Amino acid sequence: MTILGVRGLTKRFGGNEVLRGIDLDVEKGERIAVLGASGSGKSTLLRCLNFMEMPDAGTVALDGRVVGRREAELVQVRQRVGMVFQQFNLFPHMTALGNVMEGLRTVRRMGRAEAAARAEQELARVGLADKAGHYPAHLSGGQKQRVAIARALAMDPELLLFDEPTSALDPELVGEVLGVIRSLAEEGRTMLLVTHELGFAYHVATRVLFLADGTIHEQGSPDEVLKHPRRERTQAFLARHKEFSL
Amino acid sequence: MHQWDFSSVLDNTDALAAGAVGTLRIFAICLVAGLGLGLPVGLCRYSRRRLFYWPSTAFVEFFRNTPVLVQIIWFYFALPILVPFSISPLAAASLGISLNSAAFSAEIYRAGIQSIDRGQWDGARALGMTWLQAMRRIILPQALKRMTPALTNRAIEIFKMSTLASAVAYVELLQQAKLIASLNFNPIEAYTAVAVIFFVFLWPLVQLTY
Repeated sequence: MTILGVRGLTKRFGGNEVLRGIDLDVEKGERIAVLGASGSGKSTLLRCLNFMEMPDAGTVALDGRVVGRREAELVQVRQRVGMVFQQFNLFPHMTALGNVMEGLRTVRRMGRAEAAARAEQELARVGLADKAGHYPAHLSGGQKQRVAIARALAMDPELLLFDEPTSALDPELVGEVLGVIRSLAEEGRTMLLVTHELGFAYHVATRVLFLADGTIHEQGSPDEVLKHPRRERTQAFLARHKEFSL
Repeated sequence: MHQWDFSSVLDNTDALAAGAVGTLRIFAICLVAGLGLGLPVGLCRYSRRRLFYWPSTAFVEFFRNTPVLVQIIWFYFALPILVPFSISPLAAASLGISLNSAAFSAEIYRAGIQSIDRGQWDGARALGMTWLQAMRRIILPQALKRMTPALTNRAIEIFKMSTLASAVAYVELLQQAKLIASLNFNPIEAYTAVAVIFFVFLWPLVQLTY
């Protein structure tokens, strides 16, 4: 079953065409890793899928219905498509629990007690039940990102977008966040993940996209793209990534 | 050398008390109206939509760049000639001071909102919040905290601007000092007393800004 259908997606920033006609179908249960050099358009692609950026041309369809540009419609779509950011974007004036409750309270209009119970569940799922009362300033980067994941999960999204979720973390904190994302993968959640963690992509993704110059340059199974890339630019990208590996 | 003698001022404490009540009344009205109106104007100044941006910008520029005293006198003496009704000294003074404060505080609100990291908008909108929900729940609470010192400064300004109401003979502290001075021929003591009273009211308020 196709959850998300993208056709001819194009995005420009000024005169710079960042996405040049992306076509993509995301099936339920798929875990798609999006790779590419910086400036290849991978973050912009993700941000266009929940309309954090407005595409200049092309369509995004959710469950077969093309999404329009009306605010009310976009708000609906964003409730169904969760997003986790590189910089976490937690709300600093709320505790971890408050952050996770916020969408339930303000957007879903859930009662306080019910929202708190649900938020506690989500915090427990990412292993932070004991940090519920902490403010973001008192959490490590890895803990912040896990709260951000819990915040997205609380909304029961049909699709999760991860925009370089570990790129802002110290290396020793990357593992705890990837661990949470892997456990979500094991639950069969549908997700798109922009990442530079090639090993993680190889083991967790069901499909890998390699973006270059705003187009999908190469795609296939992790084995095809990461181990046996056919195209030169994919090979060069992977070679650069492996240059300093052990 | 002037012989200081505050007895004639102390004999008129009831008149000064009436003036203080008038000053506090105009302060309260202009604080609520000025800072209250400033928020929607500031939000319009922040907007990228011309329909909101241009009228609010015109408002801010007009009221920031004309003297409050001129506005008060205009509302009191000129407006009744143009329209078939007149307004009280309190209304004229409150209008002038409130509109001026709205214009200045609008810029504080706009700057405060602009200072919040774009990522906060992203985080709020990704949850499916509307613009208004994101503003109310996520952006404003953080921005208001940053704006508090600047808004307190506005409050202090408003308190002091209340003396301009004396230009239309509204009963406030300066107006009462004028009255006492003209009856007792003691302008030095009368105006000194007013300055001291303002200091006593404002000094604790100013301490809050640190």
